[in-house]
Amino acid sequence: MNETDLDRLLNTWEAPAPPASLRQGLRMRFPRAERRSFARPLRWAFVLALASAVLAIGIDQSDNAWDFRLVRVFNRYYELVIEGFEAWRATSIVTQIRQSEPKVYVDGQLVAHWSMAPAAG
Amino acid sequence: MGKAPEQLLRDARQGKETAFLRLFDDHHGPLFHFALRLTGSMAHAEDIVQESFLALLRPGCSFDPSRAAIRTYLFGAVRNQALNRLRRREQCGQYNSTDHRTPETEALRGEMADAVACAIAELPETQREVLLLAHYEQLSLTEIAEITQLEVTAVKSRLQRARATLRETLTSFAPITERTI
Repeated sequence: MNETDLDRLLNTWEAPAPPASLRQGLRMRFPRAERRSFARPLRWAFVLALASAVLAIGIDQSDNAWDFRLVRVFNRYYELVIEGFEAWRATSIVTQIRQSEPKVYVDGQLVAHWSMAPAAG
Repeated sequence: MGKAPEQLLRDARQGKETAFLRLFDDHHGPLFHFALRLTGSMAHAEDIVQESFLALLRPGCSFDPSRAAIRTYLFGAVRNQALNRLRRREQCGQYNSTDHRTPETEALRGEMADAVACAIAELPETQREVLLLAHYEQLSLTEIAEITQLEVTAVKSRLQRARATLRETLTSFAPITERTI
């Protein structure tokens, strides 16, 4: 038997294609990053709110004018952050609604797509 | 043009599943065939290939792109895992080639394939892996030397010995091969 004969003979042993379960199994075992839950930032917000309340009550009872100004500055800053967050959330909700291409129906009749509908109702 | 394997691996390590699957799609075929031929078991081959890919994502992974290509590293990982399992099973000579025979395989061809599988299974472990990588996976002697951590001359010598043994073992099939294939 020469080299070519041997190669031909070895080639008769064919391996089957990898089964689909190989890829599926690997996908299932892929370590996905843990999704950040809403509970963690909420916990921090709760701690901050509690600390602010304790500080405000303490300063109010101590009747210290300088500290009271500090609290007002802090409150103003807090309100600005909350307003900014609200504005960002509102914008993102409107964007999501627009991207979902909503349709306006009146009495079961299609009146318009969102893009054609007036902004004010 | 697609991303380089090293870039795909970096992305996969950052949690991008698509990059990981792309890496898998590019390399898993030959690795699976190698594991299957080495162990003779579909279940083991599947598990070994999955483990080898997942090991790339672990923090202690020893893969270094400056030292070896990812393909070479993966073949090495598959080889090590397959050999460990074979040693645990202690049944190197009990190769079962029938678990991956397709129904449409012709009877004679199947008989030959079984004979080839058994003859290869009877080779010493060191020769078998070299033969599988060289003949079936078409790897170069240099690549095989990297995977098996041997000198190229040692790989060449093992391959020659393996082929000489097979030529003797399978000699009765030679005329049939010429007629049927």
